[in-house]
Amino acid sequence: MFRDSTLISRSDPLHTLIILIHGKAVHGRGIVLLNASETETRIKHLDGFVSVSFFLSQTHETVGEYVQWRSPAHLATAFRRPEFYEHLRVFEGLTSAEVGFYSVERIIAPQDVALGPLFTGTVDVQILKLPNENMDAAIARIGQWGEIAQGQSKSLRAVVVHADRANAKAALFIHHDAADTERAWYADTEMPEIDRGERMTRYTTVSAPAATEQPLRYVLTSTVAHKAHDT
Amino acid sequence: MLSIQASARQFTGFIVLDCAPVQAECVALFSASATENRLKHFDGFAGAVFFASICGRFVLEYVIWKGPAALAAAREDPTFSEHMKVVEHHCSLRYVSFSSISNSVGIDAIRFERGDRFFMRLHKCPAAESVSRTRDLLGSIPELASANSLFQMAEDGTSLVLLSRDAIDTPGAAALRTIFGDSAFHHEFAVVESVAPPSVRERSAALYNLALVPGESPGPQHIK
Repeated sequence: MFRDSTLISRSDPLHTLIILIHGKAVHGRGIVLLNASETETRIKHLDGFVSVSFFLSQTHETVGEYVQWRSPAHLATAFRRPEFYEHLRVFEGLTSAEVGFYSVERIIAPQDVALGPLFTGTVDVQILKLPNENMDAAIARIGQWGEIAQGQSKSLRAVVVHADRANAKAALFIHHDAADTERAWYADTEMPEIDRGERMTRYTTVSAPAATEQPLRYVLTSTVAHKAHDT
Repeated sequence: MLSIQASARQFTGFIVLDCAPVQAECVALFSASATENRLKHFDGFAGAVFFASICGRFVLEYVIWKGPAALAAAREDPTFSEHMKVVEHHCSLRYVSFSSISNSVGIDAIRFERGDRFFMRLHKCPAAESVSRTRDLLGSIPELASANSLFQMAEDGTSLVLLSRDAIDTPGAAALRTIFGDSAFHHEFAVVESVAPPSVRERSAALYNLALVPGESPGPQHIK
């Protein structure tokens, strides 16, 4: 029905952000709805936007965002627009966020990964610290693990290996067939874990608009009231 | 996710917005976010469902309050109408009705999950119709009785809104037409989001304000 899908492809050199937001369960639905709404109403109309897929953990304590822009320059330009940044301050102080800027290094799957209604949308996300020396070898080790894990699992549909070489980070996007399947985390003494998303389910994907669509125009102002709010 | 108990009687509102050229899903998600983060914390809020038509042009909002007084009190708070002013600026109001004559039909609870499909029919009655006769008629239409439906009748009995899981087939539609006349509006919708009342753990938190871009005037219509 909606433009509710995107593709993760090795051949498409998109600028990818993976964001993990951790907070209290009572805020989880509010965060995912506000961020999805802001993306649908305004951000998707900014030049260079490709897509954002939103994920929410079963406990509602973690929100994941898989973000695609045409290039770092497009994102940098968008970042200066109020339509982009107004909502970012709303949950500041109530949540913590781990943000990385990635390229897709490997897709361990028979084909490119589609995020959309046809996919069950269950994912595990893991962020790792890459060793500064010989990142390529470290990424290759992750890839080998992904191949073995997929060969041993009946439910693991894809492992997407991302790298943020400037900040020496790797992100694993691990796609499963169903929510109740066994988890598969990468463990390596030379690559400590920076962050981990609890098992998350896709909420929606917002992709670039049709030519006929228009953005909503409004001003969103974060209040200071929440700074004294302890929930 | 919102669930309506079978045979529940409530104070409800049905609002239909014409959104072109902005897409209906965009407006529905915007309203759902504002409701989840702000409106649901008002006393008397009992639930809301936000739909987008499959054609992408219309938004349907189904809102439930504990009573007219609770809604009137909420309206007094400026926060209540902030997002509506934005919506009114971009959309035109096609239909609105609030009424206490609002019942679910069928034996099971009705659940509204993202992506669920519903058919909405609006009938403008040629003459005021009685509630009991309307309820009897709706109960005799198999698609409504078996598939968990809702109806709302205007307080003066001159309009009827039906929300059903299934399209109403020819005999059922003919029966409706006999009493209520031709359907004035009939579209298929998908649930974009539903918002349940807050749990006891959730505390009210006005985390942000919404306003029109300076220099832009609000639309001429008032939705709620």
